[in-house]
Amino acid sequence: MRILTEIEDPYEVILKKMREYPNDIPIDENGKISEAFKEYIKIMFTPEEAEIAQHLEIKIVF
Amino acid sequence: MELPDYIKNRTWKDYLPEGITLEIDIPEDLSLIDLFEKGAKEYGDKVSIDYFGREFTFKEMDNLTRRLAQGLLKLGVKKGDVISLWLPNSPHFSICYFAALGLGTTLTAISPLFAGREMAYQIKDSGAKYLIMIDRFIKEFKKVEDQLALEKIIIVNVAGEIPDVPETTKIIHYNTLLEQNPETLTAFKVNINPKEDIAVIQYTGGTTGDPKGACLSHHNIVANILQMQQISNYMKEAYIKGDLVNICILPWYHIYGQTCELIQGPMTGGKGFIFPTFDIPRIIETIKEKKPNTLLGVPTMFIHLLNSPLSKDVDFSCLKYTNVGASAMPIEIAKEWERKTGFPLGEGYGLSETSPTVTNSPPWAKKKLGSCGVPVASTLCGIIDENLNFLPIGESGELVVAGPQVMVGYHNRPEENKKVFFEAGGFRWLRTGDFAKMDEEGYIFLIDRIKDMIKYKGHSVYPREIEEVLYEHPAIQECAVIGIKDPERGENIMAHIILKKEYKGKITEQEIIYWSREQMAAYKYPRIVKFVRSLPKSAVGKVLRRIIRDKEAKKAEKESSG
Repeated sequence: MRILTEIEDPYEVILKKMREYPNDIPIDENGKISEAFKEYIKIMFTPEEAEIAQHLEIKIVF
Repeated sequence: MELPDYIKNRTWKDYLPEGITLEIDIPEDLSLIDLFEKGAKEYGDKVSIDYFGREFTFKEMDNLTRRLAQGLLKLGVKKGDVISLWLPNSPHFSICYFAALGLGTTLTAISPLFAGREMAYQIKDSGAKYLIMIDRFIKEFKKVEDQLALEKIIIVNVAGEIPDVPETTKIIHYNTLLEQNPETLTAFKVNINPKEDIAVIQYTGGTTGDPKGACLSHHNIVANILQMQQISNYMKEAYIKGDLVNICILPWYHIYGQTCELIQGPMTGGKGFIFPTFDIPRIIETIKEKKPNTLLGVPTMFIHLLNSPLSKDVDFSCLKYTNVGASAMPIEIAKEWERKTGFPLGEGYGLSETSPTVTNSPPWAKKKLGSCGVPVASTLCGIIDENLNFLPIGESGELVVAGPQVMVGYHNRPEENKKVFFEAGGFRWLRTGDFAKMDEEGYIFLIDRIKDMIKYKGHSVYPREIEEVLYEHPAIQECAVIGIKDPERGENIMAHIILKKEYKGKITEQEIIYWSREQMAAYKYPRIVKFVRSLPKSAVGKVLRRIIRDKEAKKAEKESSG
């Protein structure tokens, strides 16, 4: 049986997905996502909304 | 005037390997659109662009380009119109670029770093009727919108989303143009005369301060692509043993990025990883994961990549073909880069006026430290004195160039054209304004710039332009902007300022820096401001920047020696 040892924070999942998108999000020179932006995302999504939003795909449309 | 032997003989021909010739065939009837169409036909299903993991084949890029061209045609775009692109690197840039060229228009690409006023200058000077820009720049655009005589503005979102700017009779979304034109324009029917039709007005600067538009014909750019292809083909055969896989970090608004990245793709069938910004973590991650084999950049980019803590344990040995241009590469950095990749770093020299490459270190011959190489194929270089006399080999003077990549002339500047061109030995020569010498094997060593241009992180910064902005500050009576040597940035920007009496003691240097930052692009504003009592001037009252520069250099030397 596979033991789930680590559950990723849904906010981190959303941020990672946003980072892999051309419109991008603010990062520092070491590639770390800005703390202020992390706060902003927490304002944008309630914990319940983040749980759902983390599963949404962002696609480049052409 | 008779040309000296070193120009006619071109001694570097003695060590050209088999297959590399001194002269190459540059068909006079070949346009940039011919190259684009040839690429789509020849490499159809191969991947042309990788953009955040979304791959575009040559066929798909061709299809999107033709759909956009159809849309532009319906908007009224016609041969001879000037279209300005204010876009970062993206598939959209390529699609708009070739769609516009296919309709016989002239392009002028604007730096994504420009503030509204700088963008407005370029649009007005080039006579652009259409602007294609990204939605993020709308705030800057609005600041100057009423100054511009634009017929239509096309708004792009770099992720392909519907832009967050409402459409009007004048503003159209890029997405709308594509949606309304599901059928592609089957043929670019317009007749292009490659030698006469201007493909690009590339903005440079000048001693007068105002940026000037260098008119590059289709033939100019095609010639430079073919000249550079001699080098890239050699690298493919000798080192890469396959297709070029380019990590495209040069900005495409710059002619270096256009000729060596944007158009090289369709030309060689290579693939490019593209990013809208110079995003170091993403670039290093791509090197690590995707193993590109080609990277072209400016010295600052190499410095950042080497100095980033993220690159410490990353293997760069996939990068077999790397080349640096735009400003002189510090020797120590070049050595460090070669240690990191295990391959020689090529170094070139060019100008916006020469589409851009003039010289490149020949990968088939020895590399000379501090040299920007030998003239590329079908190119002549010489050194002249102030009376336009050619100097003997080894002597220092102004570098002049003749070749098919040399611009048609500056846009609407007949007086400037008279100054930069001269005829000799049956050739039309361009004066570069750069001080250089050539050795007996044809290697060129740049010594200094005759012009006062500052090279900040590879960007050309023109002091007069900065001074004009500074003069708008109410506290500034007089000023002079110079470049001072900086190991990381190439040169840093310093302003010497005389304050008006009533402001003395009431304003700080830092406040001037903050104010400047709001007025111009990030690479232009002065990082160092010094309040002074006087400025050195010539007999006619012209500020002598050279003297200030020398003074600052001596001061820096004294400080560093303790």
